Amino acid sequence: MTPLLTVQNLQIRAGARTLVTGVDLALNEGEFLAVIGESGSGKSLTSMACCGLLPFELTAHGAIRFAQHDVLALTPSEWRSLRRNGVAAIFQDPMSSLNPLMTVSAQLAEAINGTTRLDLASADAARNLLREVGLHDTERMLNAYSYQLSGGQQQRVLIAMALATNPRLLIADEPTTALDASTQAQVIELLQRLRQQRGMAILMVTHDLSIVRSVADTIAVFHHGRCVEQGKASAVITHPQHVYTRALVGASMQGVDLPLRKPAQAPHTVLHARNVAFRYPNAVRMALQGVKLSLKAGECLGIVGESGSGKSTLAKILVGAMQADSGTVEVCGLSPRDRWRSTRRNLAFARKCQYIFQDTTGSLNPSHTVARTLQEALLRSGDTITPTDRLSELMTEVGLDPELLSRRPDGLSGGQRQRVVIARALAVNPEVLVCDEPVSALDAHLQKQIVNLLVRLLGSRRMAMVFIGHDLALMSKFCDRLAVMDQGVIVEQGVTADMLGAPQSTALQTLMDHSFSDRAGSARKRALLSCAA
Amino acid sequence: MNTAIVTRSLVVTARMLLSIVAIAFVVFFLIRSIPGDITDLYVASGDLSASQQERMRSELGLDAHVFEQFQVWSTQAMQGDLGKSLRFHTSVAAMLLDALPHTLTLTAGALITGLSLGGLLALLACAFPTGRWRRGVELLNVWSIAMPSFCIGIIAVLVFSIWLQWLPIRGQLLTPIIILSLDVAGQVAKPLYEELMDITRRGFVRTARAKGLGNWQIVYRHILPNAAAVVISLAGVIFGNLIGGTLTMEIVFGLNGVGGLTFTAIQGRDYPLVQAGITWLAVAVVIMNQLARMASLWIDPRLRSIK
Amino acid sequence: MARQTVKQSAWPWALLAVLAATGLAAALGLTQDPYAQDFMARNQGPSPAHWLGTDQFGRDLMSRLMAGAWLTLSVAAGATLMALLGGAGVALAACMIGGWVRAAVFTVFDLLRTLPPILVGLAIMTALGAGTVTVIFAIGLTFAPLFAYIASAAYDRERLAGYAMAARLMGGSTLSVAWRHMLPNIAGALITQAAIVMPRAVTTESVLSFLGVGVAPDTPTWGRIIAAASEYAEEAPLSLAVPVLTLACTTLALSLIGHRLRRAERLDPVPEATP
Repeated sequence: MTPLLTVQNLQIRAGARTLVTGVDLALNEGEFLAVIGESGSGKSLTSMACCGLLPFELTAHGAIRFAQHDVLALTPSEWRSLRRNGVAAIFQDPMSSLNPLMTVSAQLAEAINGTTRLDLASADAARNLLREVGLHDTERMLNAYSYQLSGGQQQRVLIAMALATNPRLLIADEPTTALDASTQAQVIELLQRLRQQRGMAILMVTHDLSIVRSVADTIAVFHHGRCVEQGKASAVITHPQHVYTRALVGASMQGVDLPLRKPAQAPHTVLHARNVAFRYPNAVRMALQGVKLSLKAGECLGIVGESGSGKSTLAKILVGAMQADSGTVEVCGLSPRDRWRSTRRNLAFARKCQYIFQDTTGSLNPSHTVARTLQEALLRSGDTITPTDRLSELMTEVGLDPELLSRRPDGLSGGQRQRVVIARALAVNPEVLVCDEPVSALDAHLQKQIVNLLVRLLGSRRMAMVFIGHDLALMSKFCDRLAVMDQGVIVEQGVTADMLGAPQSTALQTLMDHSFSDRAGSARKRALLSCAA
Repeated sequence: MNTAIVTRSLVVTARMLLSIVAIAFVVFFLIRSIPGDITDLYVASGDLSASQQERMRSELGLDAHVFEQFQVWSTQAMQGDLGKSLRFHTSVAAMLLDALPHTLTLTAGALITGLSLGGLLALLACAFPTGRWRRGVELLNVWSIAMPSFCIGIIAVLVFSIWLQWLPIRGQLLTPIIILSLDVAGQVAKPLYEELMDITRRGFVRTARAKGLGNWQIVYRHILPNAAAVVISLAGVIFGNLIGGTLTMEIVFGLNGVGGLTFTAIQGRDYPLVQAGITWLAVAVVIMNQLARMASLWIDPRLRSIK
Repeated sequence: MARQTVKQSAWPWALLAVLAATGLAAALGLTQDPYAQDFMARNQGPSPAHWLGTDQFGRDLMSRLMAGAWLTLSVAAGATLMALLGGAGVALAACMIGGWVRAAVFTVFDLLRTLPPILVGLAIMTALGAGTVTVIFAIGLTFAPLFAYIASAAYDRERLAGYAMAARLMGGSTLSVAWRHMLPNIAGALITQAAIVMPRAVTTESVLSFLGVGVAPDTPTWGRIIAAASEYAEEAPLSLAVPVLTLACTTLALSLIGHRLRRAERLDPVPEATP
């Protein structure tokens, strides 16, 4: 069977620089090809070349064939007819992929019949498409503008537009990266269903192996502008050949290497919250209700939930950045609400409890160097050791080269910035660390590194930690206890292993379903291994 | 959707009316605060004695409180009576209406020419991004920032009217329109160019291409409407600057527009005319600003939710 | 991404230096008396005695121009300073008080901002009469809204900025946080805006003085000099051309400096803290 899409010796250049080289790919009818790699690996450029949407500064060489057409040699008008007849594409950020000034119906009409009006026949087609992608409130959808829709809805609309021409190949460039975890899973499920119902081939580019491992037929791995490995998904995952592939597969499957921690001998409670309730002004429902938590010295408590469950709000209340409407919170004997009453109290609280922000770019002053940021933090610690030694110590402790002290935040990578934020928090030697989604914006292997660092610090400094996040798979590997939040309420709480073994609440069950999509993968792995043996 | 536009437009109109009343009052107050009034001039020229002055003042309503005077003036103004010019003894409203066509020609001419020129330049710079047109856009932008039309106007008079004697010194519209339209073009070209470049990179243009739409369709359905939003938001500021420039040009080139008339009135201490003139010009700016806001509402649906 | 430096010609700064020097010289009385009238030497062209000629009252044009440099620039600087302190000051106070006070203050600023400066200046000066102090006040008033909006935007941005909150959570006092983190950013934006407003203040003052409603008739700012010279444009075109060209070049130089400052701020800006 001749493949639907073949790429031979593809090279993409920007002037004299070569960005992608020696790429060979093959995709058959109805297959799902996942193209994996980090940003900058050339995966997006390759997919753009396949649908003729490379930026005009870049040139593509080699051969790309789609159903007997040599795609690289097509004229613009031939491309246009190919796009209306075989190849469709969706992209990364759904909000900016929709024209903010046009309604959904106008843009859908463009996809269906090239004009902005839906006549009777196309209106029917439009409604069917919307239902097919899971948007059943078709009248509301048709009249909506993009800003009125959620990220997931926007992406579904874009998929509907792509389906309008009944394509044989759908190219999806990081379609789920800008969405939150549960929406990601839903969109992937949708793509899989559409593939099965329509017999459509899908080429999906992503940096996250774990979301496609259960749906992909073939996987191609990109690294530094080359395709380093390609083959059937099961083979690539179970027997990765290339060094880089092995690292990727390892990061998505294995857990954190947990250094052995001895729980504190006579653990006393360092943090507790009782009956905390909070409502945002002008909000209809409570953001937090009846929240009850406790944290012992040296322990790691994970607060996990979907976005909107109230976990970030809770974190802010625990450190006093927001004030609860009712209930009590006590951290090392101090009340976070009282910390603002005087500078002295503020300092005392800060020395006990520190907060790691979700957004590193926002929490570091962009015009201050790392040294200056850390010096300001050290001022608060009351230590008398000479600053320069202390600065290097702090940097080394979080795994940063002291040479980076003279850089500003924009000269650091995302992972390095997060380490600086952690170093700053450590400067005052706190007993409790509250981390609000500290790794959510990082790539998988960086996440693992930062979590490793945090766990190591817990042990070496005998701190306790509250870790807020939505990635249950990750958190279950290092949190001693978990609290599951749903719609402002803690629905389940307890020792991690017990909870995962026997989930009580639907919230936890849903989280487990989404986060452990490698359950299916690991089941297959076990089956394959037992066959091979 | 339509109710949102209507409600928002009503809010905008209400604000506009409020602004107009506020401006009219402030100008009124400013003029009234000039020490001395009409009666003093008559006394100075010997036509009135001190006792007669008191009577005349009460007859003219000049001894009433400022708010009362404003009430009287504004009720009259709404009926179209803006008082009489002190020097020419004719209706102020009539004089202004006579002067209006000159100002309108100048303003409209400069606005249309300037917007077209600026828009064209921005489109060219976008379509041929390799340098020459882009430099033109930058140059025009710096020109409009840095060279006051006042200076250029005087230099133009010196060069074209006095030295070369190609054009008459007073009364011609060609030079002021050119000078002002360069100013307008400079304010439009660069922001429009940057916005166009930004839009072509945006996701929805890529989506449109992926849908197989033709280039022209993409330009007029997706690119231009989004770019228009930027131009409209600039329109208020541009018009404000334009009115200021028109005022100056009318004086430098001796034109009989509203600005020129107001200026002559200031020199001649013709207060009713001064007041009406300044108020008219300010109100024109406010109305244009609010029209621009309403146009934005119509074009960009995201602005329609009321805060 | 390190700070980028672009090579730029230094002529605007050179011109300003020359003007400052000449202005200072004039202020210190090192030139011929700009007010000395000499009816025998009216409307003459350049000569060894009078390098740029004389005006219709026989006053030496060059020294009038130099005195005008000092006067024009100091009036414009005064107005810009007034606009900055008044605009930013009132705006920050309104922001800190918040509520309806802030809304009311900014409604007024909003109205003021939409009106062209020349018109507003004209209205105010007609009421207050010509004079140096009044013209500084009037021009300051018209440009105050620009600073008000910069100050309020900076204030809102800084309050929400993660690093300000981070510093407070670190145990910093309100004052130290304001000093270390918020003020440098606000000040930077205000200074850039001042550089942009300065040439506009020069132009506005010149136009107002040209129209006769600026400084007092005997204060030789360039606007006044131009007004006087324009009556004799046909007999002594040079006495009109030179001040106009000087004014244009100065405005150009000041604008370029402001433009460059704003571009520098954009290339290496204070990034918006993501909310």
